Amino acid sequence: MVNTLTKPQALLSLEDYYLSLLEEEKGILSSSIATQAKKRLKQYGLPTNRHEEWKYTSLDNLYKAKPLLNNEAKINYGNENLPLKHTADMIIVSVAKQTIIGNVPTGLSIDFTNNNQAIEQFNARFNEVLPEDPMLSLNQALCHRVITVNITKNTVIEAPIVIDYGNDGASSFQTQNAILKSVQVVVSLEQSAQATLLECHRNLTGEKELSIIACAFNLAQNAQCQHYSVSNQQMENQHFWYGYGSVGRDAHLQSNSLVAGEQLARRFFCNDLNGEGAEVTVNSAYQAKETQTLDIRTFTRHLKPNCQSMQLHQGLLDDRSTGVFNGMIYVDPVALKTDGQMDNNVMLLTPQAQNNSKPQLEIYADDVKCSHGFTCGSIDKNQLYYMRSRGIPEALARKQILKAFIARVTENFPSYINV
Amino acid sequence: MLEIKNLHAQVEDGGKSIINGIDLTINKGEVHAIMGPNGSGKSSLSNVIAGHEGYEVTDGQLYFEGEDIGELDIDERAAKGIFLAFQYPVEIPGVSNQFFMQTALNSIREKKGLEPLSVVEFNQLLKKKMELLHMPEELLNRSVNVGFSGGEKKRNDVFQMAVLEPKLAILDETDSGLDIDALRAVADGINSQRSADRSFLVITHYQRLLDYVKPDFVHVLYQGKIVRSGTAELALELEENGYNSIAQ
Repeated sequence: MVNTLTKPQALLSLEDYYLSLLEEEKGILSSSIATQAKKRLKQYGLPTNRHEEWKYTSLDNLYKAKPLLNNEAKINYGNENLPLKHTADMIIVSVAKQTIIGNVPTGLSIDFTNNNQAIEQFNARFNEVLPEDPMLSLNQALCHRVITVNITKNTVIEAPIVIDYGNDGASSFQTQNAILKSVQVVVSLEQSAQATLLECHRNLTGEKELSIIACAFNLAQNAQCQHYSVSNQQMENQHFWYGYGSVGRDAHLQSNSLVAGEQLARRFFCNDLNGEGAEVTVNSAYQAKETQTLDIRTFTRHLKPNCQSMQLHQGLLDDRSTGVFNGMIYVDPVALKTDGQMDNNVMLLTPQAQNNSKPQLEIYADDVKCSHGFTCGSIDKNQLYYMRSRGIPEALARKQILKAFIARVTENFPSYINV
Repeated sequence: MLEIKNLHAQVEDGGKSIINGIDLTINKGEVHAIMGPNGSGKSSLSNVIAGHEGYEVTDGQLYFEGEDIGELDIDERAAKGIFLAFQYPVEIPGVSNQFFMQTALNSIREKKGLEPLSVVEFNQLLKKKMELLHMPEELLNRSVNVGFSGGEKKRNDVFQMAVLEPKLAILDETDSGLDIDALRAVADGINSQRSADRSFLVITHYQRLLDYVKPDFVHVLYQGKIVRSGTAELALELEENGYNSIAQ
């Protein structure tokens, strides 16, 4: 049971709220997943800052959110505000509307039903990795949308598959609570398949929103998946994203994310390199201001020989914001010739901004190449001087330096994405 | 062009006094060289003229084309036509050379009340200057000075000068760290920019740069003061006898 002795009142009240919500509301995942999730939430409750994983990311101000009601008739928005230059040749999947716009080519299937084995498998895997995570448990217990994307063997999908998390559920939502958006996405690429997946996190309601997304990538042998994630969410948003990648032999998963705007965000990406020669790239740019807390976490497991993982996380922290990075590269005893790199670079723009970084390596194999690094500094005065000595005004010089800092990640975005 | 009167400066926040009363007048089209031993204040002088905020002018005046520029910001001085080629050109990852130059040129044009150059106009100008200085085109798309060799960095600074067309170019130890061929290439670049309207202040330790870039006047800086001035012959004398002879 939840230990109530040392918790702040705010957390206890939140726990009460969510435990009773779980009695009232039901998600659409199988009852075994949901029941387990409920049990875990009851057992572990919400963490205080004494919990190692939640030391710098407080849940004290978590919204008391209710699931978005499934009233499709009142959803009347289009693709116009997506952060995309054009959408003509894209496959746009609306999570709220459960619709697909664009031509779905042969070899690609997109499904909104919840009864498939892939979902069971990846939730089981997540439960092993994050058994105590309350947000993941909430997602599983109250999940109200599931999207399964499958690409068959040798199929190359040229058009980007856009997952649009936008909703305007306000009209169907009459209480003062925030909206809970709880979604699971499973992307499976069969042997030698290729696809690009773009996640657009957006809130069109203007209401407070708590979104919890769990997203799985299953890459079979030689498959290639490009994943991008962008958000144009407002400060009213709280956002939790849990990613899991299973990357097979000679397969390549490449992920680039831009995290900004949310009042509170955590992105956790776990990748298992399950086949020899597998490659994973996980990059993120996080930009925080005011009192935002942005928290980036990765857990990369090298389980087979000759795999490569590359990570670059660029943080830009202004005002009194907080950045958190926690990354772990685990190298199994059999994973010889592993090449793992993880870098976290942070620029603090005020003395009040803070970043807490913990890059870690756990290596059980000989003959591996692994590195992890963290840098933290303020804007380089010499760069400013150099630019200004060429006639560029200070404000513009500053802006360009910051843009360039973030561009180390955002330059990987295809040109059709506005960043 | 540039008139320095009784200039005194120190490192900001009550630091050490570095410039201790310099008087120097540079007329249009003239090339002045400043030589001096390590720590004599050569780089500090160039930074003070450029407007570096880490220095505080405690006495004296700086006039540029008759205007007191002592209170102007770095970028405002650049817009007036003062250019500083750095001893250690700074790397700016993520900002391409081309974009950097376009932003710089258009910022200066804006301060002068001119319309910004369009991409086409700018590219034409850039091409012309690249041909003049024999710059490889691939340099344009690379981040400013990132991964450049020492010679490339210095040449890039000269290239920037050619694009921005300043009235006064201060070259702060542009010859340092260059091999003979790179030195010649940089010097050729500088010479290509010499004109009756453009003045140069060349700061150097050694006489060898002055073999290529012939100065009209040479000044010796010692303990923050100009202790001797002369023609190009003075540089040869220094090369032979060292700075100690002057100090004594």
